[in-house]
Amino acid sequence: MEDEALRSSVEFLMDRVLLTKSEAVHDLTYAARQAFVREHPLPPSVPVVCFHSQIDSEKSKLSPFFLSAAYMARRYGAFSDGLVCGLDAEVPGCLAVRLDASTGIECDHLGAVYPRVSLKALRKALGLAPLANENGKPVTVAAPSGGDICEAVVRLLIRRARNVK
Amino acid sequence: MALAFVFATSLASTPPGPSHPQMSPSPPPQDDIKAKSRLSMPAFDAYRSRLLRDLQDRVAAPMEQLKERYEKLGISEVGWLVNEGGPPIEVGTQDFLKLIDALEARSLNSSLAARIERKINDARAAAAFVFSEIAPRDVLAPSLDEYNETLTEASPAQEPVNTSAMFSHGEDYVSDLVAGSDPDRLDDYCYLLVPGFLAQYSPPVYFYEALQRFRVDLNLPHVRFVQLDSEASVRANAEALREAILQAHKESGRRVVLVGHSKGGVDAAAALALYPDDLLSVVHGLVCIQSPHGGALMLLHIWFLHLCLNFFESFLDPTK
Repeated sequence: MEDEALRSSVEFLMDRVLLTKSEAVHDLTYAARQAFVREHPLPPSVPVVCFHSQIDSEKSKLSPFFLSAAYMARRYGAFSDGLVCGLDAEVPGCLAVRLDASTGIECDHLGAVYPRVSLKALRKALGLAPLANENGKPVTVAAPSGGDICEAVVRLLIRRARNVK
Repeated sequence: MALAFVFATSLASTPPGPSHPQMSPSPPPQDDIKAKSRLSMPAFDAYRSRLLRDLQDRVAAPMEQLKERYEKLGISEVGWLVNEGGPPIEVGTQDFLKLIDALEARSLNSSLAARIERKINDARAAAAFVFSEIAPRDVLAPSLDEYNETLTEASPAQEPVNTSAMFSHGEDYVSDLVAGSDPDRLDDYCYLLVPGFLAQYSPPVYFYEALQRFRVDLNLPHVRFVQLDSEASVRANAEALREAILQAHKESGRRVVLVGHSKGGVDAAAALALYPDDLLSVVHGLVCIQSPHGGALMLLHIWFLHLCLNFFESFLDPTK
């Protein structure tokens, strides 16, 4: 928070009234991140995989993050998962996994860490064909489960580290 | 104020005169209208100009100030980290989707529904064999053939997984994965799962599926959930993570893979950037799941959520 008046009022609120810390909020601002990353850049020898997703259609209007994602898309033109923009979630030199609109998968900010029933797996288990639109392209009903996402991303990282070496 | 503004503009724009043409068929002479409007305009003009000036002072100027303040806060700098240059970014979305397909096929191979389906198919095959042996062949044969055809159609577990065509890792890799073996040898590493902002307020299901997958399904012994104070600063968390990484490496004897979600990814990257001498020989790689490396656009909204949580918590906890 660059603005001194805003910062002092926020810190007063948090320190005196709410008795909590404001460091995490301050460290995630654009200005603080710029200062930190320019001072301490990530060492390029570490293999990094960055996964991010977005929700931008009415398929995910039941998500608790839909309103904020729609607000960010409308106000700033930035597609996001409801809290984090896809453009901010990548580091230079990384392997990026972008679940954007072309993949048909919509996953909000907690989709990778909170348990959820995957309708896609359920349809497969019941022997039903995956949903398709008029072009014959499959329509993914829900995002893959959090376990699948984490395992796939870790496998990508390990293969990437092997290829780099 | 807005109502008065609308009232004033409507009065000024509509010419005075009879509104119903049938009541007075002859329109009033033009000179009267001009005289009346000339008489009434200066008061309205003064009122309108004062109103517009007030609106400008009370609404538009503060809005401009707010806009400047937001621009100063850096909210318009979405994607600065990517635009700044540096090593190129590769895109692995297609590989990820192929991997997801393979993993879902693998889970289908081992799931309860698939096992039940396989048992039913076995029973049907046995019944068909018995009928074909015992009953007269010419009576039952056509219906049995039809039945077998429907059986081959509706067996999802035996569908070939169509992932090997575009998968850059090769066909053997996917078939190994679907069959349940581990071509990447995940057992060679130790995994640290780093939670994100406000994780201690969430119900205890954070990273549940990942922990279940790594510990139970894949049977990996060295998977840890790092308990961090997610409200602390990035530097403090980086230092705590350094200790956790070194301890995990010492106890497991393996290189460490960091998996961070949201602010956890930022903390892990900060740990690597701040303590490269200690950690680069120990850390195998970093996975960031939806981490705001460039900054969080919805920061004020997160902050509002934080305030609400603390507000409600202060009711529950009388010591606060």
